[in-house]
Amino acid sequence: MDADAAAADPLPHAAFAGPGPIDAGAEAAVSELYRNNVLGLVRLAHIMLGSPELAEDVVQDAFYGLFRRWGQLNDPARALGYVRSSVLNGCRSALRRRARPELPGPPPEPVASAEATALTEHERREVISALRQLPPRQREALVLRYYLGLSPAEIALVMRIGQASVRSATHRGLAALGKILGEDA
Amino acid sequence: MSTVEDKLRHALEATASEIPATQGRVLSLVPRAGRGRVGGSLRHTATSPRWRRGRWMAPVAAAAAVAVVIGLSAAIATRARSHRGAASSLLTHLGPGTTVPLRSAPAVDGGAVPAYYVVIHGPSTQVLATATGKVLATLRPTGGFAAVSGAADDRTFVLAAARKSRIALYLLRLNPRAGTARLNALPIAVATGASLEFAGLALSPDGTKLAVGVNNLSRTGNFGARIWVYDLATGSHREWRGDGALSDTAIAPGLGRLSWAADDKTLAFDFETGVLEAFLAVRLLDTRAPGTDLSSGRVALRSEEIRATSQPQLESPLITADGTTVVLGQCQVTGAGQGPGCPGMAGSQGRFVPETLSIDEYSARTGHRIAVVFRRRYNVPQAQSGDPGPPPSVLWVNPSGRVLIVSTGAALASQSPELGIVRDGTFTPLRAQGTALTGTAAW
Repeated sequence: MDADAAAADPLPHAAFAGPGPIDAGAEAAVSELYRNNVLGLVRLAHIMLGSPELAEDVVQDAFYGLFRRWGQLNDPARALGYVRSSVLNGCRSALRRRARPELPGPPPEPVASAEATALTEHERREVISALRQLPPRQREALVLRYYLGLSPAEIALVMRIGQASVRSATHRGLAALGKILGEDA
Repeated sequence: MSTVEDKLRHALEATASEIPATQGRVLSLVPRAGRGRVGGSLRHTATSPRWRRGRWMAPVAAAAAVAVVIGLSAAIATRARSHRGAASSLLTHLGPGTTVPLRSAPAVDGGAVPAYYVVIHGPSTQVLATATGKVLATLRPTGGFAAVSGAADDRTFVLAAARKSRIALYLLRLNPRAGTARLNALPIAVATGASLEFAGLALSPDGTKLAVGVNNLSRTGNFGARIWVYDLATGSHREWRGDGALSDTAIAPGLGRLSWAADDKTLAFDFETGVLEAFLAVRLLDTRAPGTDLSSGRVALRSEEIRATSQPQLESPLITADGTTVVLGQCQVTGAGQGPGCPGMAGSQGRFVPETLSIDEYSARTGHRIAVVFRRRYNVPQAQSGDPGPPPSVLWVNPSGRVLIVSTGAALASQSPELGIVRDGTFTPLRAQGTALTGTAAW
């Protein structure tokens, strides 16, 4: 791969290294990964997008992309990290395609859930609305940290930025969220 | 429900639970309309021109991997021998390694600035010319590297690869006269275990010592950090530890950047406690003094001391070679009523938020700012309008602290940061593209 191709590599942190035939077991492996992780990833995309249907599309696309490149994956243990990155990329693209002046607010129909009992529905919508006002990098860092519970190193891999940038984005995002909500972070 | 963190956690959980556990499509592994590859077959994709180019590269890379360079050209090994004695030098026992062609780089600033630097680009690692930004050599190790650090000789680098439960270390030697760059695995095993995560590394200026930092980010309410300093001549190492309990407002505590002073014994490191009121402290550790406690390092700088006057967000502190000065990048929202922030920080008043990106020098003795090295002001659109760009960062500093290589940072991701040399407060751009290089590039 020449320098330009290397610089243009869309998977700077993924474990793809050169060509190779698609493994005969790729479908089974990707399917198993999908079964084990689809719910969490769709929920992640839904938080970012505010649309269950769009979230499912983004996750489907991410797994399809993984399947296409399974032959180039030299460390299957990193497949989940790759697909998380793809889901975030898909969410960014979907938000850009919407071409709306403001990011979507929370869904209009309140949905009762066991988890929601700790916050009133009004409070929850305020927090999600505030989250969606943040710059994308801060928003993603906060969601990966506080929803998926990823460590800074894991977030850095998913977002393809350095750990220091992860810490900064998390810190700044939390501070900005507190400011929008009228609270100290 | 007291903290913003708690509220955020619960709001995210509640929003996620709007997708019931029983919901979910069956995975479809055929192109979906609108994916942009409608009708494209998997096999066709796998043999696209990009991958075909890779196919002939594979045997070339394999051939390069078995090439043997006779003899060691290591100034670092020479230093190591003088340091510990030739018989005990691990570096003299390195295997043949992998050798790739290296083109020579033009001198920069009469040799006052390193001519070569190494950048990790995902699976490939490149040696580039500081003056031109051109790629002089490319390495494609299996699995790629995570971090790189350079010695002061402009020829010696150490690369780290984060493997499962261990950190693998490699020595990269540039030999412009022979036209080669040679990569060897160092016979040092850094076991990180399941809960320790690689934070960074720093090669001492004379190339004889390597500091490796890891963070323990267990979610059990405790945090911890380890710094190991390895003697590259003998393989022996010392360990320093820092442990503590998370407070309610803690986020992502851990070690940040490591850097050495020219005395090859003083190691600077920043430790982010994660507590918002004391976000970052730069400590100086005497690695020859007895002790194993990271907190024994003298505090050179605390973020709250700086905030008293300027409310900055601090980035990538680096100690100068004489150990007297800490150089770091800062982002500061300068509009009235705004808090600390970096590029893209949300503003709530007006259409734009004024921000200042700067690189400043602080006294390691008093913690006071002694010089503004570089400053650039931006008007940043409000939060919804763009992704924040990378913060400014110091990538290299000369022994006196008066000449630096910096990445300017950018207010927005859509703007490109510049890579340049700062001398006496004057910024001279280099042709290379500046990016968020800290940790993944070294001079």
